[in-house]
Amino acid sequence: MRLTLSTKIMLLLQVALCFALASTAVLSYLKMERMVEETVASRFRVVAHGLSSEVEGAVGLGVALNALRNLDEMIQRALVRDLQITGLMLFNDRGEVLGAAGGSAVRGTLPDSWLAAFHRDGKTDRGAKIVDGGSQVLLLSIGNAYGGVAGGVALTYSLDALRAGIRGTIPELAISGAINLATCYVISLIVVWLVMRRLQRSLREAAVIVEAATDGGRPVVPPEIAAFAPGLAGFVDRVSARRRQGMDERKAAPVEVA
Amino acid sequence: MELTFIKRLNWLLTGLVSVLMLISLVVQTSHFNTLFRPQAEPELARKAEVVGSYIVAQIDRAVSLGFEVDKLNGVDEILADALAVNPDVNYIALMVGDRIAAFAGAPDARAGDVLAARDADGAVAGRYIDAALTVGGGVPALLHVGVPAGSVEAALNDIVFDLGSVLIVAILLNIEILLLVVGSSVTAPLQRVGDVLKEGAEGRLTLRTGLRGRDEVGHLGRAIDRALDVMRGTGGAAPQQQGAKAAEAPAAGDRIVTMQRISELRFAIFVFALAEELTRTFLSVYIKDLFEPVPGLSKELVIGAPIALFMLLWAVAQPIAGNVSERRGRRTVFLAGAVFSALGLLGSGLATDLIQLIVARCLTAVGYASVFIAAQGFVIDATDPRRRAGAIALYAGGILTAGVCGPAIGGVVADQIGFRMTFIVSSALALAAALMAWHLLPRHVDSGKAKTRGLRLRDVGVCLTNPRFVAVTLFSAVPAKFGLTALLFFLLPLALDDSGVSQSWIGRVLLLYWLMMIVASPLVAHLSDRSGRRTPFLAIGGVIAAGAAYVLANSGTLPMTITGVALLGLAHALVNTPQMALLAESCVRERSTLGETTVIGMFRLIERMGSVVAPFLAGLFLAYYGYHGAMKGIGIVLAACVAAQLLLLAATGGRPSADLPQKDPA
Repeated sequence: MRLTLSTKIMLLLQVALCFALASTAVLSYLKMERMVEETVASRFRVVAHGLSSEVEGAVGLGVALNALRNLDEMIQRALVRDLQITGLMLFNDRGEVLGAAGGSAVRGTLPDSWLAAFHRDGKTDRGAKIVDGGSQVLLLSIGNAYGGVAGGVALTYSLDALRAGIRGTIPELAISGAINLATCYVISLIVVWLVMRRLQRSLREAAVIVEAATDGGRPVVPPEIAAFAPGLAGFVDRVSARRRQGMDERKAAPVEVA
Repeated sequence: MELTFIKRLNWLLTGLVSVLMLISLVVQTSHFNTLFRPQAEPELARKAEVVGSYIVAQIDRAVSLGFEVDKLNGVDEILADALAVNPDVNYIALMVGDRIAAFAGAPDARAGDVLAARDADGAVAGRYIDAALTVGGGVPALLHVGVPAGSVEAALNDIVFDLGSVLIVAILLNIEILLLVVGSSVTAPLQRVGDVLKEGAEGRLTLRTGLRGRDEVGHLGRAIDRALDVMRGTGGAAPQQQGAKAAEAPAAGDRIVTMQRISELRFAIFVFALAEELTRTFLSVYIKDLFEPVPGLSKELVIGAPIALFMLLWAVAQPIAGNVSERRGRRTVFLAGAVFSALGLLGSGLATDLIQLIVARCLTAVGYASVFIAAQGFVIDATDPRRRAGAIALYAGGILTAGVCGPAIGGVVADQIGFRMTFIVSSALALAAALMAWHLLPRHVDSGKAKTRGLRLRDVGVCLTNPRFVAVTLFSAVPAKFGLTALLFFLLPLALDDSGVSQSWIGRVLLLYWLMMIVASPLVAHLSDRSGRRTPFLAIGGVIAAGAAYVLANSGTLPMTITGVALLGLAHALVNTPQMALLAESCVRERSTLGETTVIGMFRLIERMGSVVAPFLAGLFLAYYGYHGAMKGIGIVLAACVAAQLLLLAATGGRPSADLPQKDPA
């Protein structure tokens, strides 16, 4: 394949455009994915907050968290508020699960990674948020009557299912990106051709003139080519003169007769 | 050859790519809106339902106890409480029949006694997504919960700013790539062809274009080379005449190759500087995350230590690395520096405590100093004094571009992949720069050229006895570096992060400084040269820098912060170029006794002390007075320096004329 100047510049422009479009598309996608995930998380946070407030109300009356008898009932009530909740757990400050419901609920003791996240961010308004396998885990603290932490609420939901929906947009985004890029290609092809044609034509004509002079011709350098390459006329004159001189010398040389 | 067209070509192509990118991004953004709205809006509606379900449960309990829903007391308070814990809900209204019985939230959602957020058909009005939940009891009652419908647009608006940053970076990156590719495949070959034609026309037949490309320039180059071969075959100038001409001929070719190498080096330097600049927005925040108490030192002072040490090592390592590069070769020092920096950046990303981070930052600083001094040395070695200023400007352009691109893209990248991964990306960039330098910098050959004499302590004494040198260096250059490091690299990222501003926005704010520098510096240089006056620029710049610190200290909002940063950029643009000219004019005696390089070297070394002191002083101010007080304190220091500088300059007077090369932003 012959790489003309236009082709080289076109390739360069396409690389630049591809880079810009791909990086912005990835950036936009990640931001949108995060926005949707955050919207969903905020809904589940409401459920977790509701449950923790309910338990906190009881604990605030002076009842120890471990002594509450209707924990399962409270958990079940919260669980039915959203069918996408896969697990709901109430635990004490040591991470021992006091009540749990849902298919992916943890029984016994919470995993260390959950507890670490809970101790780090559990007391904040937004609570702690970690990903465990294909699940998103939200952890919120339950305060005791003395301003300390009595325990917490852990809620899980399927992140895979959520992401599957968001990833469904990728093929459409890829198609629109390809159309975008193809349109840019056509536009840049036209513009580059328009911009470069004078330069390319001048270069081609200059090459033809030099070749003609080399082959012994006496090419005329048009004014626009002379203006484009100021040294060309002098160079061509010298080449032509040298070629003619060479030919004259050959003619004048004595011919050997065998 | 007609090279004005080629120069225009770069701008034409940059303009074309910029317009195409802009249009593509607008199309892409609107497509994202269309695709993600159906994903986000049902989720918002479900959230509204969940919030409402808790309130409905409370009302239902009261109704089940025999209270009538339209006569319940305290519902407004319940709604207000629910709204307080769910800030992303706009309004909650209890409607009994067609009348609002209780309401909390956005006033525009309510029109007298009815909900304005719903149109006549009961459909969701444009501004809100409304969830209606049935309340139990004898009378028909509905609880309406409204969330903003514009969440997708709000997220997209945020993306638009990110995309704007990426667009600026993409355009600047494009300019860099165009300079490199158009330079190597069009400009340099055309220059070469033009030179060979000129030499050939004058009878010098030894020079060849050597072009082998299959494009039009390559074709012309081969035709010219063939013509020259044929001419030499058929006789030409007399042998002794040709010998003399041949000696001159390669010089033109070497010049083109050198300029080409410098433009390639510019790209390598751009990539290398980008590696460090990527971390600019979050470095102080990252240091704060790794903070561990040090007995006897305040937290703010400890946080400032890695930045100050970086600046100190950079300042100290630069003359040493310069000396080594003269003896061992620019290539060796560049490569060693880039590898040091890569290791330092990798170490910074993997550091688990402050000590590890400090060690890694020290390594980065040594690498940083080595690379810049080696690159600068290569440019100086490869150019004659007539072309040096242009070559240094070409190379320094890469550093300035990285200054704009780095914070903007670094903030966005850090937001997406985190601080540690961004350091690792930076490390890879430093290695990429090393690879480029490996290819383009020549191996060291000891030419026996006299080595530059290094800085000596005695020289400092000679310069410091000149009050005008003291005025320019200690009271203008040092405060400029001090203000830049204290405000832009240390305090502002910390203050903005503490206010909950995202890394992307911090990057955008910092980007403004460099943009102002790029836009205003050439204008200031032109004005200063035309008027022949330097001191007013330094004084006005100094006052604006102090004012910028004051604006930043009182900036409660992002637009005010942006104004402060833009003012600081303008101030430093006003100061930088006239500063070098004033130095040249003020140090005629020192330049003749010590040499120009020594005077500039000393100026740079002292100037960088401003960057070293800045984090410590800013940290101290921060510990005692908080962010606002610290920034005001820095403003006072800057203002005092302007006063001292003016007093010294006024006391000494006189200004002999001279020239020094343009300032190198490294």
